[in-house]
Amino acid sequence: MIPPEGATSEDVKTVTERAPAKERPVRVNVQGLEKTYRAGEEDVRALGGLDLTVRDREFFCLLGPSGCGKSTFLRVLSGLLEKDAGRIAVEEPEANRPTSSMVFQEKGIFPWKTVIENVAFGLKMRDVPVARRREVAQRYIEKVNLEGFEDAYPHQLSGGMKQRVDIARAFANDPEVLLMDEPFGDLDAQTKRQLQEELVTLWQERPKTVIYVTHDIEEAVRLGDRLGVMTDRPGRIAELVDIDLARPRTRDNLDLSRMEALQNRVWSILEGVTQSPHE
Amino acid sequence: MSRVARRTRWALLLGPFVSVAILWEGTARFELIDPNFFPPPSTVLSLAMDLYLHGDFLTHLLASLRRITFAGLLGGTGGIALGTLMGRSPRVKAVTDPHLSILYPLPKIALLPIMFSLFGVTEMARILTMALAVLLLVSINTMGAVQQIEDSHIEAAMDNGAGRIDLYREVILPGTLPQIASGLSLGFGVAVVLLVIIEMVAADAGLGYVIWTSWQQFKIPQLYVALFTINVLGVVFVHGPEEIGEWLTPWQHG
Repeated sequence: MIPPEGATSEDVKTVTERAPAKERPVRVNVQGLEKTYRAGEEDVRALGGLDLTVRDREFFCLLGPSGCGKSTFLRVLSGLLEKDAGRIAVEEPEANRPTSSMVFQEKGIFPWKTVIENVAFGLKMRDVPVARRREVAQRYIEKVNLEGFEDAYPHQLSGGMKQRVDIARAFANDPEVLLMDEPFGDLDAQTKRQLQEELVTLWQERPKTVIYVTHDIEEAVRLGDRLGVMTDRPGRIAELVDIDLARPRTRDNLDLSRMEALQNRVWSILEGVTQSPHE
Repeated sequence: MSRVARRTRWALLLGPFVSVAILWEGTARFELIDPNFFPPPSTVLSLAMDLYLHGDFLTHLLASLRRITFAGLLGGTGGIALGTLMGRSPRVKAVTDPHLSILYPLPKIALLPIMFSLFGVTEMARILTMALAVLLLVSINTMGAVQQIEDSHIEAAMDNGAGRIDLYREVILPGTLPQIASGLSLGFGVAVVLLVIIEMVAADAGLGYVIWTSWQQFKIPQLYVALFTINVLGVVFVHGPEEIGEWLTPWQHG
């Protein structure tokens, strides 16, 4: 059960006791997904029969060589692009709750809206009353540590703060599935690490199914419950890897040797994927 | 720009008027320049009071104001609509762009006789000639701005559940406002030029008409009253849209 909006932190704690991932119901089921788009004069086959199941409240990371169709996959999942063939099933959302919300790599938030207007945007589009959406937006602004910046415009914020706004907006929407398209790809290493930790904390507090696209192996291993490595274009899942690192993955709790082993394993999968000849 | 800076800028705009007035007053009083052609500002100013309060200048001012306002409204709304359409639809752009490219370099005043042939020698023809100039500049500016809207902003809006109208109201309009404002500013600049020429050659009221008839009747001080009024009108209509644009886009500054 996902706690209702307005649940106290005590409520949240009790429901976040997580059942083992493999026993949880399937949240996202993708079968034989095909997508070809036109780039100039050329047809680009971005996805070639992609299959994937992600379970409820699983943090799933999607890794792959650049241009392998990761972003296209997210856009087809979110409905921004139409699929050519295949099946996408996301467990029925509750009333007035969006199926998915996307966090963009950059320029996802509107420069002409203040922080709070940006965070409340999805709620506004769903006709949530003004007072209610301000209240929800305010809560998530606090959760991403942007208190005091409610009325600031994005040009007054650093890159990391802008991504926090985008994340707050996605969580404020309270979607079934959170889609993240390299949200920290443009940040410096230190800011990136900090935001990764904040994201995981927020996700544990408000559990959601996450599909997180990245090309950073360390990031995928650090964040995910499981990761999938994509093939070169046309993209499919080449291999799935369970990330059996205990949470919280704080510095003193993180099994570094296990993490390194996982990273090496992913690295060799990726190498195999990029060396294989194109279909 | 902060409010103080904006106020300072408006105050600085008065500078040229003051410095020219002082220089002019002095040289005219001491007859360093011929006061028949260059009457001192004090003379012009007292005449202006007289002409506006007791003469027919208010009529002429209103005639000019009406023309430029209607031309601005027509050309502005038409330009925003056309520019948005062209920016959003490559098909519309493919059809309209060549037309605009050919019309753009043509001095619109050359079309005045055609407008008269189409609509008779009417206010409609005069206003449409000016409106066309505004429309071209506003539509080209708006189109450019619409095309520059980030794909990610459109995607973010759609992903958050924005419908067609939301997309225009929440993304495309605010994202293009600054360029729409500068398009309007450019458009009004050309419209003021057209206004004066049209009134000089083909109207029997308006400030341009007064300038030309004053010259022909050698009423030089009256000519200056009309000239300064035009100048004020120009400043208001050219800088006005930029000021309003800045006021409407607080996210661009501070």
